[in-house]
Amino acid sequence: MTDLPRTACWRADDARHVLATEALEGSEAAFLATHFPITDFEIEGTRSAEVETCDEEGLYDALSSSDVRHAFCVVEGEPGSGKSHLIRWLRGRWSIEDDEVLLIQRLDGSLEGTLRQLQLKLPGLEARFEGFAARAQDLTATGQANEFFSNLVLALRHGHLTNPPPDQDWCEKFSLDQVLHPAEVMERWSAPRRIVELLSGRKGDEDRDQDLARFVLDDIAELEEILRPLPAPSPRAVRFLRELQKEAQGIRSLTDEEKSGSDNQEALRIRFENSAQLVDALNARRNGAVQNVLGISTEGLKEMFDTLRRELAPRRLVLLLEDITAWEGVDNQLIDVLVTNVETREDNDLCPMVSVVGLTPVYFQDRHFQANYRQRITHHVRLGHADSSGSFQEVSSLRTGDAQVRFAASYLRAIRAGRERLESWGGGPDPVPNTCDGCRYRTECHAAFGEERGVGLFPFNRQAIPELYKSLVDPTHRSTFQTPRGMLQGVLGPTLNDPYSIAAGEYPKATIVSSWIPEETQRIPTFTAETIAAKCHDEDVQERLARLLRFWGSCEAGAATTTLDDTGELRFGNVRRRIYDAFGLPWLGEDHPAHDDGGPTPPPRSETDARGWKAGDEHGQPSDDRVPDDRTDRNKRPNRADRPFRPVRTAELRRFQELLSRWRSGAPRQTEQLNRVAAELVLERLPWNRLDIPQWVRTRLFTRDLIILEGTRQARSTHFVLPNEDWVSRGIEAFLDLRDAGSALDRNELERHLRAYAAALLELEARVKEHAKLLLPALEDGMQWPLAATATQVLLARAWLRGVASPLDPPWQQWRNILAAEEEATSAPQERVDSWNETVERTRGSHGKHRTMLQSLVNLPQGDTDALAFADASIGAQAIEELSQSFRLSRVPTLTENLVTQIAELGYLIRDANETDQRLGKVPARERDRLKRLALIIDKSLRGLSVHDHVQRVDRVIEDVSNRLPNAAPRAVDEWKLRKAELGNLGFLDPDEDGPGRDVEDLVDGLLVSEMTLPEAQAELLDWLLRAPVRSLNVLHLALNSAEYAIGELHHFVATFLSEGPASQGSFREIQNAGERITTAASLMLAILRGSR
Amino acid sequence: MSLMTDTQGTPERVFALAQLIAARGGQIPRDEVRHWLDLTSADDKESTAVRQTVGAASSLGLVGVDTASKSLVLGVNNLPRDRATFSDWVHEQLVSLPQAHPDAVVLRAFAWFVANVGKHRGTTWLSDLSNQQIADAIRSDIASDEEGSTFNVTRYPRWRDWITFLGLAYDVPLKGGNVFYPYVTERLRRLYDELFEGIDAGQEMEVEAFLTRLSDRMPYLDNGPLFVDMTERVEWSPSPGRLSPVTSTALRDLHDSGVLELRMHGDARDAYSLSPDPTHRIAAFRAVVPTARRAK
Repeated sequence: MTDLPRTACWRADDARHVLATEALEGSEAAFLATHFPITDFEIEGTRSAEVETCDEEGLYDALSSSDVRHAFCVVEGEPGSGKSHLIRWLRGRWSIEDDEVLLIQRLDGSLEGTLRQLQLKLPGLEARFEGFAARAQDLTATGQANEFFSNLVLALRHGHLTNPPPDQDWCEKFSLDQVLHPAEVMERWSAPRRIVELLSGRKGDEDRDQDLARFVLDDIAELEEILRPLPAPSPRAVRFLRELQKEAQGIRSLTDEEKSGSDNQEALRIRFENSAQLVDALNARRNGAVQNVLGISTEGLKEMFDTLRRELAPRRLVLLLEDITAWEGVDNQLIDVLVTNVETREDNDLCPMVSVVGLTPVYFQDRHFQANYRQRITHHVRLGHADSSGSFQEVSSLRTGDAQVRFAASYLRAIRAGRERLESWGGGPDPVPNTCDGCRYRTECHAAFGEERGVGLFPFNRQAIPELYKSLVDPTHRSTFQTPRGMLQGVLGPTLNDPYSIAAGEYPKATIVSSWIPEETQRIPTFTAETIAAKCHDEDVQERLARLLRFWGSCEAGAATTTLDDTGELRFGNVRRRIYDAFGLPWLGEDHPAHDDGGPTPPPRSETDARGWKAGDEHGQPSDDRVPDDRTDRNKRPNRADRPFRPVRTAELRRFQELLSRWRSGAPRQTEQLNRVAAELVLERLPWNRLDIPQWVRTRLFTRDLIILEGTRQARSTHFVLPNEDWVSRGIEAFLDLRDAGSALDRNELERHLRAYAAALLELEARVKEHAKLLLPALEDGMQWPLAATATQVLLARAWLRGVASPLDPPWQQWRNILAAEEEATSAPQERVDSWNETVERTRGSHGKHRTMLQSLVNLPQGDTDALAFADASIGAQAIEELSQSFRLSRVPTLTENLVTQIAELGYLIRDANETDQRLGKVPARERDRLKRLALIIDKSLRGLSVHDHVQRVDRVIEDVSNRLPNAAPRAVDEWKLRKAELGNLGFLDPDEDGPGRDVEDLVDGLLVSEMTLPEAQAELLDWLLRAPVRSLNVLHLALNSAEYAIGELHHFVATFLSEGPASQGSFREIQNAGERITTAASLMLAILRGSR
Repeated sequence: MSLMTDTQGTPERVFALAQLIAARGGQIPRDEVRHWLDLTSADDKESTAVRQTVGAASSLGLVGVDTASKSLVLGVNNLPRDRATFSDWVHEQLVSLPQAHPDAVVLRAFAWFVANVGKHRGTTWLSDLSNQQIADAIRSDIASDEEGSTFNVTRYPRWRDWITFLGLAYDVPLKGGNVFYPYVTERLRRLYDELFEGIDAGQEMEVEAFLTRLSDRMPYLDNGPLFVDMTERVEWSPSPGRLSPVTSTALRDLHDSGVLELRMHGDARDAYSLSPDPTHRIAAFRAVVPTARRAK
């Protein structure tokens, strides 16, 4: 059993007392006991050379030197970086008796409060403040805000200010004073109220924390929303507001991080040009507006200080101002006072003055901090350096882990000593009391947790303090929390204010991680979390262990193993076993250190074989020797406990893990990115070749847009949704880690990822099949619909009826035919029975899509190609066989409206299949019957003659009659002439015995006379029909019809002529001629009709 | 003529050929095959893809040749209905092959991986080796020169296709290229009914009995003849009572998905250990219990 403390060695009230964050807020003794010398700052300014060492003593020496009559020293640092501490330390250190030293603290951060302090600290000079800033007393908070706002609006008006800012014309151009004038703006716009509250101290210093009381881009976005429904005063204002509206949308979409950081400011000014200019215009008029509210004249403050200095002369005034923002509203006037150099004045009436002013980098870099002020800074102390992101300054004195530990140790010592002992100690000259000195646990405790100059770090260790410190982040991203104040409030406070959690066995409990440590920073890798969960079932304990590994050791997967450190102590997660014991946590490791690869220690390595691999050991024990030499060399690494764990993941990978984690917890962000990766996993990594999902279906139902993670988008039935379950998040995490970090991962983690990845793929395979089954229409009995069979049959029926394939062709030929580009029809579908042509026409617009679909359904490429290469012809072969046998298409699903858009083409296929099926079986018989009918008509028309002879005879009659009676039935005669020409073109008029006339005669003869036996089976019948001279038959039929009609019309004409007589009053001779022609014609026609000629 | 030499005869093509022959009544003239399958060729020559598909199918015994009629005939009575059941059929066929059969190398090579993963206590060594190194090692280890010659680096990817098709592995995208990951969970699931034949849901099956059935149906896993042969060839003696990583992973996966339960009785000394996985709670088991949840 280890001899370690199981309870806290301090008291909560002592912690609260010592950790009071404002310097001197606790007590002088506590301040001194915890004072951490401020060192390593940067120094600039016109007289920086006077500071010999860049530490607090060096600065004091430079400023307090008796020959200094003027100094304007600026202490620049992030909020909480120690500006006040340094300034208060200067106050305590200042030992020049003749100097009048005034420390003006920030307190509530308000101008009113600051002025009150000044009044109180200058006893006897109260009269100087009479009437100063008195007006604000008469106004309510709303009254102050309204007055501030009204003053601002007036200041925007042209001609209102005697010395207007340079942007006066710009403001006038857009009538900004009128734009902001409506009562709605005053009532609803929160920005003026916020600024007044900051200045008046009503917000309190906790909330303000050196925030600048200024307008910002967010204020303009809010203003734009208020102004949107209101009428604009001028066309230019309309245009301006339109621009503002566009910019406001962008401003609202900015994250806190994007809005913060000095590097971003210029980019934001360019991007939101109009809004930024409006911010500038308002801020440029802010001080004047505030001063009016407070009743301060622009010269009032200066006059007051001048008076004070005259009265103090020749003594030196040392003015220590913790925070310039507390003076906002009159800050320009104050700085005017501070930069006034007594040495350069002609009148020797003012006292010398040394001023030290604390300000933040944001204030210093703000455009309103005029350049001429910067040039007049005598000593510019920078407590930090810009961090790697360039956004904030790191505090110089806490830049290293060792410095952070030293800083923390001074507080641990003071807190353990307790208030009473500190007060007794009183600041020296003895060392600060250290309770570790008499503690019985000292040896073990310091060995387990570490110590700093004799001060034990319990319950932290040398790892935890810097790890917690560097995790501190301002949730609003407006400043850095990696400051001394951050250390107290975010690192030490949460633990030291709650000493009971150690005795209660709850440490490290959730509250040790303050809200300043983002969740994503607290998270540990999945592998480590799973390793903890595998060994400990209690979720609370799991979380404590996770925090322990995260901050006290290492949570990297590579560290999640048992190791032996240099002191001979076992560690797991790089945390000593004794620390687990001290916190009452279960030991996660083994009783012996693991071999470097996570398994038992292997036997000694043997010789390398010719292959460059290590041979197995002679005992046949498990070993990992059989790997190439370079890998073997990599195994010769120092003990894990002493090896730094380098992150193998890129920032991008870590960010993605965070996104996944957020998604898993139900608060997804950047969902497009998440879905893109999910789609990549499904589309590119599944072994689709074993899923029985044809390419056509895959490319329609599984697209990048349709694959989503649950909860990232509103899911429709078409979406393939990956559920918010562990196997998905682990699978995706594994996929990314494997792909982007690969074998650089720790071996155990790599194995875990491989397993998670494979398990996810396996699950996805099943779900992909389910999804496709769900969306694809099924047959009525629930059976799977063979799409390829239907597509084959629809295309084949079309090919048959167009004459490009016959059901008697070899099946493979029909198969190739339907998959190839469509050829010209040879069956004259338009001249067939109506249902024949209708069937072909039905698929005229869709056959191309059906063909493409079929090609995609049956294609079996090798590799990633869409080119048609190797066909799965099995379904097609069966479909061809069945259609040829039955002339019925295979069953198809009922056409419903439920088909999703992506596979809407299947609706056309079902429709075409149904219609083809309805007609196809009847087409051959109908066409056969039609041909028979035509044969009868033709046979009757020929009156026993050959086609050639009949045509010749008819033509002669028509020619003769129309020659004699040119007015007789001219249209019918013309029609016949056309038909005759057509017959001639087709060879009907040639005396050749093998011409089309003979074909038709044979067909007619076969059908009517010889009683030819037509095929019974549909395939054979259709094949016969396709070969029948149907076009010749149709042409002849039409010609014969035309001839019958022409002769009928001519006959009618002649008969009428004879019965009614000549209509004209011609000569006798004319009548006689006509009579002769009619007689002749009538004779001819009668002869023809009787068939005697 | 084998799966390893006829590399363009991919699993799905082989299955398509068999289905085509079935659709044509169980027999098809050899000359006709290319017309059905190869849509790109315009000449009379049979393409490599068709020839190798026929070769692979013949090698598996899926199709035979009727020399008299110069036809291909279906070699099985009950053709699998889909690709999943076809993969079952192929697996069964490969398991039953004599060692001298050219296709026997398929599972023997897989057994080589299982044995080496056991020897190296994981799969990560695979990512350290090139395809050439792996293919050379397999050729050198698994057989005589004659047998080994069927395995080389150009055939390695096609071999992976077949193994993946059989549900024995996945290709994993690792930085620097895909790696082969032996993963037999799917195959084990598909053999679920056979493994638990005669065992009711909820009824315990002693681990030894289970492993006997397992090695009988998956001879490349622990105690199976192919596995044992390979452990000797790679000079590794598995620890008695400890399962290989490949088998352990599959059993853990099936346990996690509720398909079966790995059960432990107290700290039974005769329990079998699973290959270590620090992220998993189950380290050993004494019995296997099929659950009511069906695997397929």
